[in-house]
Amino acid sequence: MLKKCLSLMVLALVLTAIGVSQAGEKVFIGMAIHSTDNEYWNQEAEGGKLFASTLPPGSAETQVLTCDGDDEKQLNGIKAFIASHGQNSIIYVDPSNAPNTAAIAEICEDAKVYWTSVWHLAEGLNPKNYQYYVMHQSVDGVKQGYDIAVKMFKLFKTPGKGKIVGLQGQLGNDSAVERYAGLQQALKEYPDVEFLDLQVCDWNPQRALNTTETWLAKYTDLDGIWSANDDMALGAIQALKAKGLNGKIKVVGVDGVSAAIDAIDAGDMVCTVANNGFLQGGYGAAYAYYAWAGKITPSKLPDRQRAFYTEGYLVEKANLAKYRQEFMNSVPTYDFTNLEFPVVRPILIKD
Amino acid sequence: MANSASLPGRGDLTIAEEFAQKIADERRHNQLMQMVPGIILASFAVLASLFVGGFFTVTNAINILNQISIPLILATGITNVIIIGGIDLSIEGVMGFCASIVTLLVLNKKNSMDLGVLGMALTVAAGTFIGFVTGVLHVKMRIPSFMVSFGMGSVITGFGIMSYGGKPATVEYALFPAISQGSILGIPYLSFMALGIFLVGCFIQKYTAFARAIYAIGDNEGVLRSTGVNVDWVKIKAFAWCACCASLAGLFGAIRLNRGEVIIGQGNLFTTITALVVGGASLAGGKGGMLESLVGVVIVVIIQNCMILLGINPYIQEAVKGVIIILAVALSVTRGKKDFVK
Repeated sequence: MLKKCLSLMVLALVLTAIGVSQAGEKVFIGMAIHSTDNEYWNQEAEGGKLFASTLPPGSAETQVLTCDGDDEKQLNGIKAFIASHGQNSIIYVDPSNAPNTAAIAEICEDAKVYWTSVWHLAEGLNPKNYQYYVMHQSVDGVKQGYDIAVKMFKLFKTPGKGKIVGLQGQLGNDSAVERYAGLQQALKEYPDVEFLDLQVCDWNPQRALNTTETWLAKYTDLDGIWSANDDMALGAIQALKAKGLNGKIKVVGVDGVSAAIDAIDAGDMVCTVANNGFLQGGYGAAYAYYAWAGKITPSKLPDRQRAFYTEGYLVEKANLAKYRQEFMNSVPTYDFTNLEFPVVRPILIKD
Repeated sequence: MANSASLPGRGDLTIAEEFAQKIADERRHNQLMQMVPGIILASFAVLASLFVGGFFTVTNAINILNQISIPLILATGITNVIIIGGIDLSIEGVMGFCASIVTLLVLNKKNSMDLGVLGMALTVAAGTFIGFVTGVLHVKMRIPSFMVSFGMGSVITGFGIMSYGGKPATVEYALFPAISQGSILGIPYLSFMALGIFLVGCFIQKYTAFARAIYAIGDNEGVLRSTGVNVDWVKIKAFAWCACCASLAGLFGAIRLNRGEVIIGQGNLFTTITALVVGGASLAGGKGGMLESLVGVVIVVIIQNCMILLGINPYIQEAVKGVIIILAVALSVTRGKKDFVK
């Protein structure tokens, strides 16, 4: 009887082991994003799923890990994900804050889990110094802030001459700081554009609306409103609409949310830059996957593929239809085997 | 006794007279202190008109009326909760949630719903129900109001986000822009509506037993309980009314922006509580009222308005708001002569 029991237990163990090794072929893609409260973050998650769909059916599973901007929650989510899937995990991380990437790098290195990051990088951190930190990508915020400003300046009654105000995002936030630096760069190149005021509205459309209302009482000859994101730009547009000034005072933003695309269509907004979360999430997952599958070795990748800027998509009236067709009515398709495709230019990291 | 009898000017008074005089003094002092927020408001208005360019204009006056709308509605609701000595930290969540779902219930670009005014009514009903639940949890499970409302706010924010799944709906219901852009004598419809809701709040405060019970709870809950008044029910009603107002504020937010997302609620709690405290309400309960809240809201909105008009450095603006709330609380503590601080 005892022998029978023992042999059954051994059989069970063997079967479990076989099961585990079969499951071992399956990769678990963790998409660590802020939350699902925003179109862009959803695009990142969708990008991961898009990549997974290019793999053989049943060989990959995508899981979304949200952190609501909380560092501790993000770390715990990643730890729990690794604990349940071990070395079959690969992770795409949109860090809650820059310093968090350093902690994540250590966790993944210890657990031997391949991962990639986007946007924020802790000071002194460089994927090149790690075996499992495959790559870091970002969108050039300075370029975004610059591009939208220049587009706006050119549309003034006298092109390149006018008065503008700025709606800024959260103080100290990387994206807000970079985009504003882009605006300042554009202002230097266009000395005839007068920058009257900058107000912080914390990415909040309601605050942007109130601020714009107050501005309209103070400045009667505004030509444009530069906004660090689309949500605030949309708030500003509502204030302009109430005064019948929409379209007359030019508004620009960043992010490419669908309401902003509609506003461009209606002529209320000049342009926005879509961050293309599909591309970021998709290639972020792809780089980690190919490292996990042994098809690439991170240490042998060229430097430009370990840290690079991706292209934002500047949407204006002229290319609106094309953008809608590619990104909104359908999900864009990418050749994820071409790892050079998303690289616009390398990020120079100071060691 | 000999000492008190020898006090200058009080030598000829009997104990009863002395007591009466003391009460009269205190009343006079209280009356004077009650006028302080009004005096502050008047001085602010005068100073701003003199020194802040663009303040004393019709356009800006209309702006201020416009910007008062949402904090005033929120203040109308939360005043009762503050008077009973509680707090409702869920107003931002309720506001954001209602702003989100109303845009999904009226004609919009995201789904095929088109309930119109019914959708708006359902939203307010849902918001009020949330307040009812907060109240029930607070009184029946005896969870402190700040904790239960904080949790509730978080839960409801989550539901709000889930409702639109990260892609906020843009409204196509013609009534929304008609309300947000419509005006009588240049004053927006929304300002009139906010004033209407405020007047309902005033009516409740002046003419209902509910309001009298609210003050009695804030003063001494035990005494009121011993008289047989259903204190729990009064508290639940206070939370439900507060959430009802927050839902209306959410509705206003969605109407003004023509789209709905939870972020609409963010930042309103701080403004509203600051306004109440500046207006003279005590966070310990028992003090405050509609008129005080109105004065507080106007003061806070004028300060925000002036900071933008003056082009004050954004880094300093946040600090200024913090200083104002601390000053106001410091003043209200002196006024209340509290024996102890928790």
